[in-house]
Amino acid sequence: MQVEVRLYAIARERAGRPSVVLDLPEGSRLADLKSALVRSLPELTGLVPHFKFAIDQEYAEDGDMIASGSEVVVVPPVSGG
Amino acid sequence: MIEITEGPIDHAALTERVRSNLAGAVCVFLGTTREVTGDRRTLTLEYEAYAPMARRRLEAIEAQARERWPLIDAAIVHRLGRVGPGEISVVVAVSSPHRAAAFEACQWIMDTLKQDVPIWKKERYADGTDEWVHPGLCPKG
Repeated sequence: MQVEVRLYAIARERAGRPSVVLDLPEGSRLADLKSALVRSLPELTGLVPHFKFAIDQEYAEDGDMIASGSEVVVVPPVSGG
Repeated sequence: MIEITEGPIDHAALTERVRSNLAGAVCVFLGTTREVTGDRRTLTLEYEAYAPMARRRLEAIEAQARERWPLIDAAIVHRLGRVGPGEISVVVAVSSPHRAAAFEACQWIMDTLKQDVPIWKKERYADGTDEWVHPGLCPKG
């Protein structure tokens, strides 16, 4: 399945693009998506362990399932305010 | 009341919005762009958000604050885009019957916003450099 991952702040800047489409096997979990993300964008390798991820606008854990229509977003450490 | 806006924030209008005859206390926090940090001068802060989730998180924070303290009203407004020195990036305004709840809720909302809501800022410095602010993340990481 193809899943689009949107990038913000330093993740977008390092990757040089606002999103990336990953090809993942059915039944993938967030941990699998993270591995695929750094394979696709090696420039994010050292940063990904510091990022949170959101699936369908909720913070997600490594074991959470990814579906083909999931809205997946990389959330670098936040700095609002 | 939650709002994410690209334009300037009218803090006085938000204060009026939460004022009430039932309130004995109104507490308002303004986050503003600090021009000098150490020996560096900031020209502007540039905010971006994952807006739909940011709005949801802010709504959840407001709801939690209303559960935790006897608030009469609450307003949280965050600005995106460029915010110059002295300008307001965020307003938290709360009203309650007594002052302790207003002080505590206002601080808790602001602290939680800074830890939880997907909004980011970039510092643009007078020396021509810029830097995303990502707490806990080495800038060269």
